[in-house]
Amino acid sequence: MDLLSQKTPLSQRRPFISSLMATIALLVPWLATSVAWATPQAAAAAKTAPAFNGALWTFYIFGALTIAGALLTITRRNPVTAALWLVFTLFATAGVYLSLHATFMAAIQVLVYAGAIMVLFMFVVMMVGNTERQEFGIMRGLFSKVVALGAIALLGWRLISLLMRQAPAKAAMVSDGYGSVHSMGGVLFREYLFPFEAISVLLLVAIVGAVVISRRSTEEKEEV
Amino acid sequence: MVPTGYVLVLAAVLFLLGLVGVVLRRNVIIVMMSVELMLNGVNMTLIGFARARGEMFGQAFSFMIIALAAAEAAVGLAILVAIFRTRRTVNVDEISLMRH
Amino acid sequence: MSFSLNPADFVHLAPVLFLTVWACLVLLASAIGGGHGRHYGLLAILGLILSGLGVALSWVQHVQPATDLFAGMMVVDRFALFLDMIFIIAGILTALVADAYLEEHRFTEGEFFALLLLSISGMMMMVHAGDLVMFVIGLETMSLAIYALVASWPGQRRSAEAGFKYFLMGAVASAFLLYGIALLYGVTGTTNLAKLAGVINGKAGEPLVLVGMFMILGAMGFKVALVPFHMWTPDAYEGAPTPVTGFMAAAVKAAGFGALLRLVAGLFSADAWTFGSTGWINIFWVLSVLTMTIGNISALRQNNVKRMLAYSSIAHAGYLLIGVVVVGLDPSQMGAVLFYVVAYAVTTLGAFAVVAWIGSRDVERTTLEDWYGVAKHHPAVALAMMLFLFSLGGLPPTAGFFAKFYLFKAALSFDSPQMLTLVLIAIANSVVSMYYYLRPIVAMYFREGASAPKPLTSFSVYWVLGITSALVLILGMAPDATLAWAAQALMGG
Repeated sequence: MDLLSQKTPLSQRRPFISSLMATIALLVPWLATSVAWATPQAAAAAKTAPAFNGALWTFYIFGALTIAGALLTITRRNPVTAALWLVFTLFATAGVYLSLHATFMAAIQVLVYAGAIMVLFMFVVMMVGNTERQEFGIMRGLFSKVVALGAIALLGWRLISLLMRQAPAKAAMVSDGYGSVHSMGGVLFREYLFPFEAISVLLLVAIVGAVVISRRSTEEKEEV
Repeated sequence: MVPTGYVLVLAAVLFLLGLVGVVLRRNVIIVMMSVELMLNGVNMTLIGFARARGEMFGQAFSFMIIALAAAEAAVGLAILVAIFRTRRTVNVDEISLMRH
Repeated sequence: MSFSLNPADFVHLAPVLFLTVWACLVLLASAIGGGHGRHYGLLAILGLILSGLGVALSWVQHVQPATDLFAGMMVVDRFALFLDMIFIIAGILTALVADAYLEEHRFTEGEFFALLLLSISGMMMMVHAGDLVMFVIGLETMSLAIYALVASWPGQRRSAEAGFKYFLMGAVASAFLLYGIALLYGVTGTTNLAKLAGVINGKAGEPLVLVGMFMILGAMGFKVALVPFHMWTPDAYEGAPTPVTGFMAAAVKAAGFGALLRLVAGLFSADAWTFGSTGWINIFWVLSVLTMTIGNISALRQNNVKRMLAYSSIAHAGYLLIGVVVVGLDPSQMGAVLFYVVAYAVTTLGAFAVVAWIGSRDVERTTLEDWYGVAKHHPAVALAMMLFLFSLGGLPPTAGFFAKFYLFKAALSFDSPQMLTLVLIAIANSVVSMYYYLRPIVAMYFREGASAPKPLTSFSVYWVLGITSALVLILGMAPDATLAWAAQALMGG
């Protein structure tokens, strides 16, 4: 079949995809360099030269990207686009984790979250199909939505003002290996040993549950 | 060094944006993605607090939450596929056979 | 922090661990043995009985509570053991009903029972949790298994839809729960319940703790279907396979209230969090009134018995909240609440067993018209159902009567006008509720059915009806022994 005769020709989508790819490509060097900035030695070095605080700038940039990505995720009509922006958000979140010296969590965020979980999402989006473009927003109960938004705005305002006031004023100094695989393993296999094993039960439930749910009835099987 | 307050506010914004998505969106896959945003807000809060205290427990907790999110997504998407098999829609409002 | 793995910890938690392993065994057996008619339910029941023996042994041999298992992650005290016993009994009765029901409605059986066992081990982890991490993992294990069980009806659209609604709202509730926990962690630097309680008692009025507390309690309110968060309940209960509905009403509710009690009486027990305009007692007082009133009023206009029982379970959550308020005022009154949980669990399991019994393949027969003339053809079952409905309504000589009696007595022992008002509202609600509990009875006894029902014929359902009605009568006529056990089931006791 001629590609051009399809309903949404690839050529129309390319600008979006390629711009996303370009953004990610730009992000990678930034991620790589920010690791260097975010290490404690760099932070200590930054003290002598306070003009440029690498961790803070990493935080600003990835924080802004996180919010932008989240906004785009929840406003896209097409679930595929939304999923791509969610992946973008998760990458940006990993950048924020780096600025907090949580190197292992940043890696896990990319590998497990942006990698595994989002692949699952994409798989289902593709399976279910996005033939129906849903209208954004107002469908049932404009009133209830306005009320809900108002409640969220109120909650957000209170929460954020509270967090600004109550947040710990000074962050602790952390040693060299903070957030590394080694320190994480220390916690996971000592204090968190039992939860770490128990969570495998949770994953087992998820697997068995998915099998039970997606099983067809015997009648259906006979028909197929 | 990043002030903890900034991190917490960013995390709260992420959480609230996810909540807005859950409330406003009708496409269930996007609603589920919004739940993922909320969980990321939680994770960032935990990691931010862990950084402020200079200890690892918050990070270990957020590690658990990532596993939990994976399990949740697997079950939720499985149910979604089961619904879609009997009915071709992914619209929250239309998923309602039962009387209110 | 030094850490050493103590082998005795495994012994303390043997019932939970055993049940989890047994669930895997059931899975393996079903993988080898194949699909239908193999009665994996009996295998599951064997595992539950063995685990129950372990719990009973632990209760009897109990000298002092083990509070520091696996670096403080798990706790074994009589409160948790008592709830374990409720889960196990509910699990056994559910498995018995399901054994007949699943065969009739053509489910694949092995995985169903494995999920049932795994959800019970999740509940046990939740009530045994000594740390919020384990609390969350237990809660999620239970919830995910229940979502899957609700949606497990093959080829039934309603079941999948019910599962999805429940899942979506549950996922949002979990996110709130986790955010609340994150805030508590941020303020205190720990997630261990005992340490946490120690720290926040010294931080009266700390706003972040307050926000965290309300997020956590709100999420738990969702799990036990309190009124502003109850919207999922009727749909999930109606769409789920009936044995699962009974299990949700009995065990999940017991687990949710157990966890709620553990949180309010163990964690937020300081006066600063309990009383005053932002204390949880006031909030729960209001929610209690709303929950029972709205639950009962909504139940009044239901013609579907399954849906009516769903609203009735909301109303009972409202009554149970009185118990939570009572425990907040005086933790030693725990017995009355736990007795109510037991009585409600047994009764509702029996009632849903009847609902499961009456349907046959592809016909659920849950509307009142379907119940016309049941008494003529099946007098024993009609009598049992009448007993369950009386017990739900709180008439003597049934379990429900003494449950309400002791609960209201405990509430009135404080001699405060607020509690008196609450009890009066609850009594008025009970009177109103009798109207809808009588409707199925009228349908069964005083109406002529167009056709005789073709119910399940398997003996396992009759076993369940026999056991539950015997228990309802025993609890209703000789409640002393159970009450004494419930009174011993104190936290850290």
